[in-house]
Amino acid sequence: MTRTARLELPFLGAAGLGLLAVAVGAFVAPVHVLHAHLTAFATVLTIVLGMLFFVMLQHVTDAGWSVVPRRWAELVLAALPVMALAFLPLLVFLPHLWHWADPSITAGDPLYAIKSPYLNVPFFVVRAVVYFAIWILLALRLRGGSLRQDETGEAALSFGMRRLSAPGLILFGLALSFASVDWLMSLDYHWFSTIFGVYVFAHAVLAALAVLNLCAVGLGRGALRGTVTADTLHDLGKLTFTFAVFWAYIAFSQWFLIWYGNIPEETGWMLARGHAPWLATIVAVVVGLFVVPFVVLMPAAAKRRPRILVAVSVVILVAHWLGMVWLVQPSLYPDGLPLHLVWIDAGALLLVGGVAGWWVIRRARGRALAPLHDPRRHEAAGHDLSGAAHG
Amino acid sequence: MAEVLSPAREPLVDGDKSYHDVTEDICRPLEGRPTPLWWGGITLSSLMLLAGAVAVGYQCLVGIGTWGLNRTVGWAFDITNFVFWIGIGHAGTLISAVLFLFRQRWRTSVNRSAEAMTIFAVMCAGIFPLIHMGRPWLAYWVLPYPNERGPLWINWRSPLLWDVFAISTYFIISFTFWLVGLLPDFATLRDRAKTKTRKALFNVLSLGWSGSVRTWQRYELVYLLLAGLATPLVFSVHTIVSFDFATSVIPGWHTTIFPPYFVAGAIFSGLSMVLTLMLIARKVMRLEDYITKRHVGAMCKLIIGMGGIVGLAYGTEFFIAWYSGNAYEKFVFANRAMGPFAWAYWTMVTCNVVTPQFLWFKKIRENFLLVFLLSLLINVGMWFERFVIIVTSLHRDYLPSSWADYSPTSIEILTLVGSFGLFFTAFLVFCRFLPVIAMAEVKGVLGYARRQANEKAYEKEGAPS
Amino acid sequence: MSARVLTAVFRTEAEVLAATRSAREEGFEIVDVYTPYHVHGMDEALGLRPSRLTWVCFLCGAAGLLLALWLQFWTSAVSWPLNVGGKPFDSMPAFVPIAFEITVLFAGLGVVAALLIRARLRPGRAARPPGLERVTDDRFALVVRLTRARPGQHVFEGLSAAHGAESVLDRLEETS
Repeated sequence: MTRTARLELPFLGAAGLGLLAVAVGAFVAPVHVLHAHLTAFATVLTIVLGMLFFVMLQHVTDAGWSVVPRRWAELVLAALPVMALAFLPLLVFLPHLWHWADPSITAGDPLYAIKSPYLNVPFFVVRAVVYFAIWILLALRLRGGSLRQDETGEAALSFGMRRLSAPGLILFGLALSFASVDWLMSLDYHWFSTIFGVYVFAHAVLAALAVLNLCAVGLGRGALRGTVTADTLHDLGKLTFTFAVFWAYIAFSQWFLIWYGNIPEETGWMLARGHAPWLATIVAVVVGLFVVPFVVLMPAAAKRRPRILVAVSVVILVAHWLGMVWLVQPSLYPDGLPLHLVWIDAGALLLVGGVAGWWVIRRARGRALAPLHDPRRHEAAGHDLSGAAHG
Repeated sequence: MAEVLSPAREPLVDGDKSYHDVTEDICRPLEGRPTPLWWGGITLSSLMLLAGAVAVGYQCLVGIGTWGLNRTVGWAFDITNFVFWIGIGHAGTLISAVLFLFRQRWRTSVNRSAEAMTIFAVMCAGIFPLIHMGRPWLAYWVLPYPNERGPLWINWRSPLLWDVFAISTYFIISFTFWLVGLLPDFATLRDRAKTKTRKALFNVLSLGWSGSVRTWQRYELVYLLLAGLATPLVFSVHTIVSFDFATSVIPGWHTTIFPPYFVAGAIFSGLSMVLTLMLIARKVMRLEDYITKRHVGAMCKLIIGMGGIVGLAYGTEFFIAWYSGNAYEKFVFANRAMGPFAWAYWTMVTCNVVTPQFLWFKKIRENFLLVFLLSLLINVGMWFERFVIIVTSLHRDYLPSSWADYSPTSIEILTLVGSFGLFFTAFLVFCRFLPVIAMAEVKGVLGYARRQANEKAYEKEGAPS
Repeated sequence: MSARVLTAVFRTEAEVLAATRSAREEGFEIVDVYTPYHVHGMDEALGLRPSRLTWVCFLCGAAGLLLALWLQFWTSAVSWPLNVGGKPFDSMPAFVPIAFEITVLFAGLGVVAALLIRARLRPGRAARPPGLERVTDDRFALVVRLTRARPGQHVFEGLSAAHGAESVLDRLEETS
C-alpha cells in the first residue's frame, strides 16, 4: 500500500499547479475561469458517476469476472464529497454561467417565463443537493459495504448491495438525467433534447472504463501482479469497445434527428457547436471516443495488450474532456475556445482532478486493492474466458 | 480446464441429467405422437390464421379503404401492429446474441425458442407494411434495381425504405443464426432417426455435421461473430423503426430519445413474450427440468430493468415536453394523458410501469401462474404504447377543424387476430418438429455448478477462503 | 494402401481431453476428435491454429459498406438526382442506416458461407467414419491413425484405458 501512498504527492502537486493557474486566471479572465471550472467539474464528476454505475451494474448482474475492477471503482467513489465541494463555487457565480439566472437576460423572454418554475435559483440548489445526496448515499453504502466485507467476510453484505443496486440504478438514472439538464443543457436554456441525459451517461461510463483500464494496467504491474490477468484486460477492453459504440450510437441519434427534423428550436444549439473551431472539436471527440477505440480494440488480441489499452484509454480521456469543453464552452465562446487561454482550462482540470485523485488515494490508504472476501472472488481470480460462451 | 465457480451458483438444469437424458428428453416429444393439448392449440391458431387470411384477401381485393383511417389519422392499427411484432422479435436476438456475449449461461435453455419466436414475429410484422402498400404484388418496387422508369431510383432518404432494409436484413441474419445454431442438433436427430424419411430429412438438414473438433472450433467462432453482428443489428432495427416517427416534425413523434427508448421498449415487450411462451412450452412440452425458476427469475429481473428504462423514458418525454416551452408538444402530452385516448394511455402506464414492480418480490417471481399473467399484461401494455404514440400524436393536429377520432374496423381487428394465428401456428409447428432447446449448448453447461447443487454454503458459513 | 485407424470412445469431456493430450505427447497422428458439444480447451489440446474466418467476416462487411454507400450516393446524386423534402442530393447522414444494414448482411452471410465451404458442410455429405453414432448424443471419440513409425496399437489402447475409455475400435482405412 505504500506504493499508492507515494502517488498522493503527484496528485497534490497537480492540484497546486492547477490552483496557481486558476488563481492567475481569475484576474486575467474571470468568466473563463468559471467555464473552465464547470468543464473540469463535469469531466471529473462524470468519471466518478460512471464508476458508481459500474459498481451497481456488477452487483445487479452478480458478475464474478469484475470483482477486482469493481474495488477500484468503489475506491474512486470517495471523490463524491470532493465533487460536491467543487460545485459550490459554481453556485456562487451562478448567473455568469447559467444565463437563465441573470434577470437582465431573461427579462421579457416568454420562453423563460414558461420555464421559470423549474429554472430558478432556489429550486436549482435544492435539486443539486438532492442529486449529491443520492449519489453520496449510494456510494457510502456500496463502498462501505464492500470494504466492511474485507474485515468481516460476511457474504450477506454482497446480497444487501445487490438488493440496493437495483433501485439504486433507477435513482442514479433519474439524478444523472436531471443533473445533465440542469448543469449542461440549461447553459442554453432555450434548447432541449430528450436524449441529452443518455448522452452524458454514455460519456460517463466510457470515461470511467478508460480510468479502470489504466488502473488495471498500472496495478497489474504493481500491487496486483498476478491478480490482474490478460483476461481482466480483455473483459474491460470489451466493455470499453461496447460503450464506445454505445456513445457513438447515442451521439449519432441526437445529431441525426436534429439534422433530419431541421426545426429552428432544436438546430440552434447544434449550429452553435457545428461551425469552424467547434466543428473541429466535435470531430476530434468522435475520433477519440469512437473511431480510435472501435478500430484499435476490434481485434481480440489488442484488448489483451496492456500498452494498446493504455494508449486507447488516454485518447478516450482526452476526448472525454474535449467533449465536455464542447458541451460547456460554446455558450461563452461562439467562435471557438480562445487558444491563448487554454492554460486556464488545463489548470482547472488539474485542480479538480488533482484534489479528487489525491483524496481517493488518501482514503484508499490501507485498503485492499482487490476484495478479500467477496463470495465470487475466486471466480475472478482464475477466471477462464472460455467458460461457456467465450468472446 | 476446470472452471472455478463460486458456491453461490446454482445448477442451471434440475434433475441431475446425463448427456443422454438431455437428448432423450428433448428429442422424444418430436418422435412420438403430439398431445391433445397440442392438437387443440394448433386447431385454434390455424382458425385464427384462416380468419386473418380471409381478411387480408378481402382488403387486397377491395383496398385499404376497408380500414378505419381518415385524413387526420393516416397511420394507426397496421403500423401499431408492425411495431408491436418487430418489438417482440427483439428479445430473441437479445437472448441468443447479447446474453451470449455477456456469458449468461442460463440462456441455453431458452435461446432456441426465443430465436424461433424472433423469426415468426418478424414474419408477422412484415405482413402489415406489405398490405398497407395497397398493391402488395408490386412490393418489389421498394428494391433498388435498374428499371424502365428512368431508371427512377428509390428514395434513400426515406425512413420507410430504411425499414425495408432493416427488417429484411434482420430476418435473414436471425434466420441464418437460428439455422447455424440448429446444425449440431439436426445431427443428433439424424443419428437417432428410426424412419427412412426422418433419416433422409435430417441428413440433408444437418449438412453432414460430424461433431469434429475442427468444425466445432470454426463453428464456435462463426457463432461468436454472428452474435457480435446481431447485437448492433438488433439495436439498429428498432432504432430505424423509431426513425419512422422521429424524423418527422410531428409533436409527440419528433424527439431525440426515441431510438434508445424504442429499443428498450422492444426488448421489454420481447422479453415478456418470451416469458409467456416459455411458461407455455414448459408445461406443454414437459420441460420443467430445463426451464427452471432460475431462468424465469433471470427473465423477470431483465424485465424489471427494461421496465425501469421505459418508465424513465416516459418521464423524460413528459418533462421535456413541458420544459421545451413548445405549446404543441405540451398539448400532445396533455392530450395523451387526459384526452379521448386517456384510457389507452393509462392502460399503457399501468401495464408497463406498474406491473413489472410486482416482480421485485421473489415470492411472485416463483409463482409461475402470476408471472404468466403479469407477462400477458406487459404484452398488452406494450401494444398500447405503440397505439398511444401513433394515434394520439395524429388525431388532434394543428388545425382543430380537422381533429378526428379513430377506431379500428373489423377487418383490421381480424388482420391482427390473423397475425397472432400465424405466430402461434408457426410456434406450435416448431415445437413439434424441431428441438425447442439447444441440446448441444445445454450439454455444454450441464456440469455448471453441479458439485455445489442446491447448497448456498457461503450464505450460512461466510466466504470460503 | 491402407492404414490402421483406432478409435477410443469416452464418456466424459475430462477423459477425452486428457487422453487427447497424452496421445499427442506420445506422438500419435490424431485424425480427429468427435464431441457432442464444443469442448473448451480441445483446441489447445490438439494444437489447432486459430481460425481466420474473422477476416472473411471483416472483408465481407467492408465490401457491403462500400457497396451500400456507393449505390446510395450514385443513385441519389449522380444517376438521377431528385429533390426530396429539400434534403441535399448527397444526404450522407441519411445513407448511414442502410449502409449499416448492408454491412451486417454481407458480413453475416459471408462468414456463414465461408464456414460451410471451409468445414465442407453440405447436404448429403457422409457424416463420419461408421460406428460413432453416439458422438452426437453422449460419447466423445478420439481417432488416431497408426503410421509405420512408433508408437503402436498397444500403446494407444493402454493410454485410452488409463484415461477411462469405454472401448477401442480398430478398422482399416483406404488411403491413396
